[in-house]
Amino acid sequence: MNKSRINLWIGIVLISVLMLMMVVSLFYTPFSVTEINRLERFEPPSARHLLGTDNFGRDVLSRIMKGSQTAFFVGLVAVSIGSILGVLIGAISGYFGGIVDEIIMRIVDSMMAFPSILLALMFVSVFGVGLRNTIIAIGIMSIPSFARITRSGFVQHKELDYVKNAKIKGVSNLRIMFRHILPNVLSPIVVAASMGFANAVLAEAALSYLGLGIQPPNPSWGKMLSESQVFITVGPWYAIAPGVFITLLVLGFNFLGDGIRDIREKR
Amino acid sequence: MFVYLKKLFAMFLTVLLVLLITFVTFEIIPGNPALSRLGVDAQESQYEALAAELGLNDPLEIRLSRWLKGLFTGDLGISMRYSVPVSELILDRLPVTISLAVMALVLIVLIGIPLGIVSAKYGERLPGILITLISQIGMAIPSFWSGIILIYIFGIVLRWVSPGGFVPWSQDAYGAFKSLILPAVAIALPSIASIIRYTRNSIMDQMKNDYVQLALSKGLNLNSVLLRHVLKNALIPIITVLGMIAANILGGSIVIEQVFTLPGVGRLLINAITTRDLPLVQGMVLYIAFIIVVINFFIDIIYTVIDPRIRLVQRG
Amino acid sequence: MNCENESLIEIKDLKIGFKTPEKILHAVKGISLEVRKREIVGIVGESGCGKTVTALSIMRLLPDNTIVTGNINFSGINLLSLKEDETREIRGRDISMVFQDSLSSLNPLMKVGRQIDENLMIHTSLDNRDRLSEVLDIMDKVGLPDPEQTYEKYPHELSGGMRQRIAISIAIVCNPDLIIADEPTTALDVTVQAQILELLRKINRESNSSIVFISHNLGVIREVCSKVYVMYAGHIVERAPAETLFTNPGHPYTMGLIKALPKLESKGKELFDIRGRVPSIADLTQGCPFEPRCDYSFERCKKEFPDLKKIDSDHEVRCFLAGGIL
Repeated sequence: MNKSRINLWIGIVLISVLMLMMVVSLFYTPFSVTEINRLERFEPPSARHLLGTDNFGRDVLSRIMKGSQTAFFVGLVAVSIGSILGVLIGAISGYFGGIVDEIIMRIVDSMMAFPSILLALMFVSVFGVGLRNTIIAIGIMSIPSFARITRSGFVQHKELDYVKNAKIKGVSNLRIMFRHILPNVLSPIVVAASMGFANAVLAEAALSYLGLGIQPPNPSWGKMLSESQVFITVGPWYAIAPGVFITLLVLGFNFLGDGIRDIREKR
Repeated sequence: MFVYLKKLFAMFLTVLLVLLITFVTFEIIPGNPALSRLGVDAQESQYEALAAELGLNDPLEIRLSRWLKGLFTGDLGISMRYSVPVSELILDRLPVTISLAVMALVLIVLIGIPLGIVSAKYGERLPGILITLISQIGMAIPSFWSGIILIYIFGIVLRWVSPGGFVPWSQDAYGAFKSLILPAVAIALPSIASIIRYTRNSIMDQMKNDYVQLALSKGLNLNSVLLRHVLKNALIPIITVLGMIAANILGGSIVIEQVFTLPGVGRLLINAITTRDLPLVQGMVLYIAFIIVVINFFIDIIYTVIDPRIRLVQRG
Repeated sequence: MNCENESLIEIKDLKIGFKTPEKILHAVKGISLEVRKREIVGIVGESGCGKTVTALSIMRLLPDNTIVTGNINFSGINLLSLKEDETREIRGRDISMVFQDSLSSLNPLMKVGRQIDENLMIHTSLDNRDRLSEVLDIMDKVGLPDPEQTYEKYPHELSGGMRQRIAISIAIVCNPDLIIADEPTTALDVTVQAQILELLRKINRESNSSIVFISHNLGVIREVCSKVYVMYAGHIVERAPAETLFTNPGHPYTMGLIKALPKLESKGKELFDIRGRVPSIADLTQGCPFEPRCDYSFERCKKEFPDLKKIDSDHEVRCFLAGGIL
């Protein structure tokens, strides 16, 4: 196997496995995710409950599986929001330049200097908690990095001959930007999207942990961690599984991003 | 100097923008701060009195100008929940957060940069790969989870520290250190991981330069070349990352103070948000923005100290 | 004994290969060359012919994934069999190097004087004061104005010519037996280039240093070297005294290089260029590697690799036609 592809493959394998789990959970989980069973509270991992049970006697594995839906959904939608808006802003800024570029990039730079969790917190504090607002907050939070990367690609490419030729031929600016330049600067954006997915998963977990993200009864890995912390002396295993799964998913997308970058640099 | 002014101005503009957004959005949010403070069972007269006291009935432009005036005179307003000046509340919580941030920063620099150097020195050989892999995992672990695990291991199983809570430095310095070290580690871990990567990449980039070959051709050994020549050059891009690290630490402390129930600024912020305490949230945002502006200013100064080229050439 | 004829460094059958996941790619395919004491020897060839790699192999500065075989005999010791710490003693003291681009080869964050000083720090036991006066002496010798002030400068504060003089100071400060100069004038403009060449000649005259001068520019080589090796695709294709090479080139490639030199009388005319491209080190051919670009090639050149043929007492050529119709 090619050495430079190792990152890519680790990423693909991790994501595929977790995605498979997510797809399965749409149709099947070993136990009910919401049903409370007082007789089986805080059972350590066993053949019946592979990852043990929580304070309500619910099967941790089933809740982890269900929680993967939230993680993937939040990641996917948030990255879509962030990348579409970020690419749009970056493209305009890089292609047209001038004072608009100056203002946009100053704001982007300063936004990047802020802790992103703070921006997300402010958003949910204003618009309220819940799935939709969590996604929007995380999406907005990821706009600056997409804008910056897209802009630098556009700044480079707008001086190249193929763009000048297209201009001479009278192709419209919009078409040049999105049909000519964008495909050529796509690969760093894809890398950013992969890393952005990882960050979104982390951010959702953090917000939910703080009680300002996904609200019960929707299962979220971050929320599970905050519940588990209360009962850590009785059921320490409950605090393990959600953390491991967050880490694996984040790891998968980080590896994927590195892998895509490796291939691009090789070329 | 012009570059700094431009940067400072941009930062100032951003802070103002952020604050305006907070103000406007808090204006349009559903729910009323006076109501949320009194609870739904409050009587009409009680509510009216409080609303008048808080100035909620004044027109928008008067509230805005009052708010702006307060900003520039250092008066951040009075917390709705605690009925205490916001600046007092923040100053009260500051020591915990600053101690945490400084401890985390020390850990990051003292652990991350040396490990990055070692990892770069071994390049693609086993120790290098191993450190890279560990740092890759370190970046993926959510800090609040490592915080929980640290509490479990050192607080509950080993009983080395009492989990949660804070002892003031003035009361018991060792106790304060003990209550802050675990949260500092939890905040530092992801940043250690990422600074290892940056250091490694930066050094390996620098190693490709001709000056490394020249230094080797003088008869220097690899370690001396790394420490005497490469490290300083490699630090320049790492300094840029320090701004990001600072943001990470601040963001990390917001979450980690919650995990360890530390009475710091981060915890205050979460409280302010959950209780919709508008002046308090604004004050905190202003405070964090201020810190970030200051940090970035210092980073720029470090730049010019370390890199003689910047004194001549302006960076764009 | 006439020390002019004594050999300083002798390379025999040097092969340099780079390990890739698939195979080993050879950048240098078995070259032999000799530098005598106080001699300036030129190695000329287009980029990618293996000349820089050869220089780095003498310094033992090639990366870990290279395989070097053969023999580099330097004053009686085989450099290739030395241990890492033994090579470090030779580097900078007995053999030193001047790189092409002084802006990238000097550490941008270290005062240039300290960069010269460093060499003395490694190889001598002089104290700070003696080292300083030594460094200032050398700086004066290479024609740097105001040594005390220049000592405190950073590389970006100096002109290209001055930086190259610093680089030369670094190379000569320990009075080495051999200086390897890899395209030392390529990054400079013509007048500065002439000054640096003159400086190298002066150093060679006044000290005991031999110089290996690596360049792609035959014109520059002609000005300073007494003996020239022409390299192509990892092979030496011709060896001759500099003048002979110009008056009586034996290899079609050398002829092409000479024709490609800009001349005064051909001003305004189109510059000649050898057709085709330098082969990549991944290209493997049984025959003469220059065959695809050669105007004189015939059937045999495609199948057979010519030996180095002696056509005069100090003139060797790797071509079937050498000494004959060419």
